Formats: sequence, C-alpha cells, structure tokens
Amino acid sequence: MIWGIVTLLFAFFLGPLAKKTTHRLGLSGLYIASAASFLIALLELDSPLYYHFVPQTFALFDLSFVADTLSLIFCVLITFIGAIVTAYSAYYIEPEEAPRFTTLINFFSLSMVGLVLSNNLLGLFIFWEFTSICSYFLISFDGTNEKARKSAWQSLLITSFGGLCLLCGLLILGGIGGTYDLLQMRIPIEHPWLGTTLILIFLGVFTKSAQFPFHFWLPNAMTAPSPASAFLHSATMVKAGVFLLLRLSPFLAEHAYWGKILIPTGFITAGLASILLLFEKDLKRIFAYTTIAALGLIVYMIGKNNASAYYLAVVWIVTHALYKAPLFLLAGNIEHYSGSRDVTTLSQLYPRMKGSLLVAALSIFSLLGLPPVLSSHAKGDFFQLLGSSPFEFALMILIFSTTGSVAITLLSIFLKSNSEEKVEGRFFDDDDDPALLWLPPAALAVISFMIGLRYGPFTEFLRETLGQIFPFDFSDIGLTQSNHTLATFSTAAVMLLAVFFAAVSYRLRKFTFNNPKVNLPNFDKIWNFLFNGLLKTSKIFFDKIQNNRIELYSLTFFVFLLYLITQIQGLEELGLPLLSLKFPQGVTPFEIALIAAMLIASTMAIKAESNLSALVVLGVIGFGIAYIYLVNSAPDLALTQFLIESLTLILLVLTFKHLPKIPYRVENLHSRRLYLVISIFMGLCAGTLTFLAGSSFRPQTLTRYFGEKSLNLAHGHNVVNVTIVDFRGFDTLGEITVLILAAVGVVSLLNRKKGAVAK
Amino acid sequence: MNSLIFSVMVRYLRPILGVLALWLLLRGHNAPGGGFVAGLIAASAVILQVLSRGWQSLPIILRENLFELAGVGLAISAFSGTLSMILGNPFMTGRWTSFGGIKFGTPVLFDIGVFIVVFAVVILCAGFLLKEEEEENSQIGENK
Repeated sequence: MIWGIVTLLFAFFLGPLAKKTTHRLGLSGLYIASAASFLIALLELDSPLYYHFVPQTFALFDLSFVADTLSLIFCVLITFIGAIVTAYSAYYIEPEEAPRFTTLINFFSLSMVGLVLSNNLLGLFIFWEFTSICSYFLISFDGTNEKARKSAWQSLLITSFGGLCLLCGLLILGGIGGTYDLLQMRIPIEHPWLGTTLILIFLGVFTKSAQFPFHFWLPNAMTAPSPASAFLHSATMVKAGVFLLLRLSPFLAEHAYWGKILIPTGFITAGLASILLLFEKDLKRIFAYTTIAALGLIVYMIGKNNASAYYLAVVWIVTHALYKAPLFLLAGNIEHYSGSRDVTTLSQLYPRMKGSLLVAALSIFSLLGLPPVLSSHAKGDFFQLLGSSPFEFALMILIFSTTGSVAITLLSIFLKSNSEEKVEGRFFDDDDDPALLWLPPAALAVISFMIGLRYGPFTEFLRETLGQIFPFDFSDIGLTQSNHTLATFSTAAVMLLAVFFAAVSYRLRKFTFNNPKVNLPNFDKIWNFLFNGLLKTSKIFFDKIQNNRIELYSLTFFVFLLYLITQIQGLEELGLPLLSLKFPQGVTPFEIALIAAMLIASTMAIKAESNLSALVVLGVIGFGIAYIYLVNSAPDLALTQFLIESLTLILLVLTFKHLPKIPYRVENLHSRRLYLVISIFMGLCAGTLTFLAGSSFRPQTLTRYFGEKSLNLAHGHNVVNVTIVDFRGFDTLGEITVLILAAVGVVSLLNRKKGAVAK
Repeated sequence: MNSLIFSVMVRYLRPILGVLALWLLLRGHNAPGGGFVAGLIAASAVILQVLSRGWQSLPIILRENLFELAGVGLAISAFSGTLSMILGNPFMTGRWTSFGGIKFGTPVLFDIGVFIVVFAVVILCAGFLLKEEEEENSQIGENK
C-alpha cells in the first residue's frame, strides 16, 4: 500500500515535466502501477492496517492513516480511473496547458487518496478541502470563459460552505468522542449535541455529493475539461461525501436523524435528477444529472442502515465509477470531433467516429443494464434486495429507465441520419477519432464487462470483507435464489420505460428548443438571487466599516488593544514591582548618556519638522538599541538590528516622495485631544508591559535549559541560533512563510499603485 | 546613482559582503551570525549593486524569479524538517552527520533555507522601490 502512495508522489513530482504525449502516457503507467499495488493490498488485506506517519506532532492532531476494505476499494478506483484519465488527457489537453492540468490532476489524486485513507477526522477534512480547491481550478480551467469562472465560483462557494459546516460538525464530534482518531473514538449515541453534529456533517456531505438542494452546482461544473469531469465530477470527488457517510456510519448510524434525513434527501435527489435530465440538451449535463441520481441512490441506501443497503451502496459506487467515467470521456470525444455537445443537433457520428462508437456501444450495455456487464448484476441485486417495497421499486424503475433513455439518445446521435442539419463547429479531417481518445474509455468499459463476468467472486469478496467496516453480517447477502419473475418483469419494465423516456425527452428538448421562453425549474436563479443579495449586504457593511481612513483603523485597533489590556487577570498584582522600583546595578555612565540621547531623539522625532530629520533621529534610537544589545552580550541581535536599521533607512529614502509631508496635522481640535489621550495611554501601556516582562516574570528556567541543552542536544555553541533553527525551528518556519506572504502583499500593493499612476 | 567613487567602492565591497554573508551563515551555529543576518547582508550587497549600476545589471534570476527563489528557500527549510520524519523522528528533529570531521546537520540546511528566503524577500521589496525609482528617472531623462 505504501508503494501505491510512493508511486503517486512520484507521478506528482514528475507531472509538471511531462509535456510530450509519450511522457504523459508514462505518467498514466505510474498510475496503473499505483492502482496495482493498491489492488494487491486490497486482496491481501486480512484486517485493517494502521499507519502513523507523523508521530506526536501535536497532541490532538496525530496524522494517522488506515487501510481497510473501504478505503482500498476507493484507492483502487481513484488510481485506476486516474490512469485512464491521464492517458486520455495525454492527447486531449493541449501541450501548453498540460503541466497545469497534470499537476492539478495529480494533486487531486493525492488528496483524494489521502482523504479515503485518513484515520483522523481533521486530516480527512484537510484533504477534503484540497479536493474542493482542485475542483475549483479544474472547473475554471478555461479561464477565458466567463461561464466557466462563474460555475467555478459557484461550486467553490457551495462546497466550502459545506466544508465549514463539516469542520464544525467534525470538531463537535471530536469533542464528543474525546479524540479525532477514528480507531479510538467512542460516540455515546444519546449525547444531546449529536443531532446538531449530524446535521452539520450532512450539510458538508450534501454539498460535496451534490444532493438536493445543493445539486445544481454539478451540472454547471461541466465546463471543466472532459477528463476532469470524468475523474472528479463523476467517479471520485463527488463520492467523497458518500465515502464520509460510509466511514462514519458505524459511529452515527444508530442516531434517529441518520435515516430521517438521509432517506428523504436521497429519494428526492434521485427522483428529481432523473426527471431533470430529460430536459437537458447538453450531453455532459445529462451525464451529470445521471451522476446526481446515482449519488442520491447511494445516499438513500446508506440512510437505510442495514447490511443489504451497505452492500448495495458499495457495489453501486464501484459500478457507477466504472461506467460513468467512460461516458464523460466519450462526451469529450464527441466535443473534440464536432465542437458541440448538444444532443439535438448532433447526428450521424458513426461513419467517422468508429472507435467512439465502440465505447458508446459498451457504455450502452452499462446504461441499460444489459447482461453481462457489471451494472446489470448490480441492478439485479437492487431489484432483488429492495423490490419488496413499492416506493423503492418505483424509484429504481424511474432511475434505471431514465438512465437507460440516455443510452438511446446516445445511440441516436451516432446513427441518426440527418442530412439537412449539418453539425456546426470544427471538423478535424486529419484526426477523426484518434485511438488515444477512444482506447482509454474503452479499456474502462471492458473492465466493467470483465467484472460483470466474474460477478460471483467480486461479491464474495465484498461479503467476506465488508463486515470489517460495518457492524453487520454480510455472509448471506445476495445469495438467495433470484426471483425470476421479478427480475424479468423489472428488466422489461426498465427497457420499455427507457424507450418511452427517450421519446419524451426528445419531445421535451424539441419543445424547449422551439419555445426558449418556457421557464424550466431553475435552481440557478435562486442561487443568483442569494449570491447577489449576499454581495449587496456585504457592501453595506463594507462601506460602513472600511472607510479608507488610516486614523480610524489604527484608532479602532488601539482602543480594542487597550480594552484587552484592562481585561488581563491580576493586573493589579503585576503592577506591584513598579512600586518597588530600584535603580539598576552596574550601569555605566556611557549607557546612561546613551539612554538620555535616545530619549531626546524620541522627543525630537515627535517634534520633527521634516521627514528627513525624523528619519535621522529615529536612526539614532535604532542604533542606540543595537548598542545596548551589544553591551548586554547579545551580539546576534545587535548585528541584526544594525543591518535592519541601515536597510530601513534605504527603504525609507526610496519611499520618501510618497510619504505625506510633515508636519501633518489633524485639523479637528476635538479629535486631536482624543488622539493625544489614546497615544499617551498606549505608550504607557507598552512601556509598563515591557518593563514588567523584564522584571517580574523572568523565565530563568528557560535560559538555563537552552544554555545547557544547546551543545548537548543540538551541537551548537550559539544558543540564539540554536534556538532559532532547532528548538524553535517550527516557529521560524512559520515566520519565513509569513515573510514571503508579506512580500506578496508588498509587491501587489506597489503594483496596484503603479497601475493607478499609469491611469 | 552615477558616482564614480560609489561604483568603484561597490565593485570591491560586493565580493567582501558576499564572503562575509557566507561566513556568517556557516558559523552561525557556534558564533554570532546565522541565516537571517547573512541574508540581510547578501541582500544589501545586491541593493548596493542596483544603486550603482542599475536594475539591469543583475542576473535574470534576481530580476524575474525572486518569488520562486523565496519558494525554494522555504522548501529547503521545510524539507530539512521532514528529513527527520522519514528517519522516524518527530517533525524537525535535528539530525547530524559528519563528512571527514566536519559536522553537518539538518539545522544547517534549515538555516540555508532561511538565508535564501530573507535574501529573496528583501531584494523583492527593496528592488521594487528601486525599479520604480529607476523608471521614473529614465522617464525624466527621456522627457528632457
């Protein structure tokens, strides 16, 4: 299993270098190797394996990973579909954009693998957000397209809203369970906060897995390049939410809200998406709606919380990932060939796109659920295990027949002869249907066939291993003799209804095409209303708070700081050393003179009549401080202070002409008094606190500790440097990160000013 | 700045400052010095050169790729911390080894990263102002 991750990391670092098609195919080879190692790990797994990669970094946040059946099934799916997608994009994505695309895809696969392997809830959350960010960048991959940018914003806002809810939920859950480690977590099911937690977590899951009422971002996300859609928005990322549900189900499924929320949501989502897809004209959006329907079905299954439902959910996750990814890639093919994805205008693709027709034919088997593909068996299991309830039966007939109608639509755009309406857009004469664009999806579809042929061993494996994850007995699920009447009836019903729905949706598309003013159920409008409302509200607040006057900003800051200082506990006791003030021992006359000079310089700085003189006297103070460091045996500090003083001088000279002229006066007498009072208080506070820090709590133990351990533990004589780079190295790492961020800020500010000058 | 004295002085000061920076960087673990100070000194050398001979006299990496340079520094520092993780210790445990009597450890690598970050960031901020100044001066020259 480790090798799977190492291979992925390897691919991640090689990704940006791979520009040629052959190199990118090599990357796909790495993915296959990774998938193979995950598959071997999955088949050889006896019991869940736990890894602690970062031992004891923080008390709570111990980044640990778990490899069990559930996570490894996902890993195999992610890496295998990743391989197909990388191979496909080797040709599909232009060489100039390849590094960006491959890096994003690699980063996504790593985060997704990290997500499914996480054993720590916070680690899981971090990877969860990584996948959202990747999704954002991939949806807006074509940055010149305004629609793409808008959709990307929409998906980012929705998924990060869900992400925040999820974070709150996970934090509360960690609080209830006492730890974020899933292995050690024990959740008392009657805990009063558990209901809130569940709702928060569900919000995260529903936004990620595009459940009603957040489903609308997924069809809009189809502006992403087709390989990305196939990978993120159908096969893997949108399943992250479902995965989280499966992961948490042993802890939370007993709670009353579990089924009460999940079952209706899944039901509504699946039903609504099945109906909405009939209206769509865009091939990829149609596929997106079938994805939503499939996700809704999985959520519904998980909500039922029994052995057969979990079994069906896992089977359906695998089935769906394997047949939906080739469909998206096929849509990419068609778009690449004809420049269009509109099923109402596309026609007669067959004579030229022979390879793609093969993919289409294989996918049609999956969509209609014809034997011997995997989905036919999965569908059979669905009817057999759930067919007894009329509601569920109706829902499944609806989902499977509308999905089947997509197959008929797909077939029609290949075979329909329509000589009058020419397909608009570009035609590639030299590469009609290159093998690199149809072989990868075909391979995926063939896998679907192969697992379908070996369905018995596949389900046997699931029956044996799912018991490790879910507290149920899976040993006899799906083994009972199939009800032939029901199976035959349901298959026939699905077939007939698929034809019926295909006809209906053909009519509907024609109708909406002819009557563009007819309003369809449109969630984008609600979204736009909410989004614009939010922007307007925030503008009102923004105008109130951000008035671009630096005096008011600093005033707010200082007043709040003063308030905080007055709130310090035991402030009166801290003041005691001030009363017993004694003249310090061993101060040389030169030092006294220096301090006096510095005091005079500070007074002069306040009274300075020009920028230059203020600068010079401030320099005196700085160098005075440096000298005091030097005589008090802090040569490192002195050295740094000297250099900083000199550099500040240079920088200030450079910005000289931009500074406001001194004397700078506030005209209003009233506010001048206020400023004076606040300044005096601020100065007093700063002075007192500095003095107290030096006198009352002197951490002698720390000085001694660093002094003693510096040479033994860190092999350094210079205690200051050892502290910076070793004992407090993590702080320094943070500081240099902040330094770079500050530089980003400086450069962007200066650039902006430059632009303003140019205007 | 078109002063002959200044440019001659910079010509000699530059290598001295460079060596001084390296010296401070490497001795930092046992004597006053360290990555931060060394970075400041090295950056001052570069700023002096810019003042005397203009922005264009710098190698391209210091003109165009400063952010990348800073990123490399940060990566080196972070990498020095993760090295101990691979060896099974907590993040940022100092690991030491010696090559022919000279001891070398991850904190030195860390300090080198700090050096690069400070160097790049100071040039970035100061250099931006210098460039602005230079452009304005050249515009004034053209207008005349």
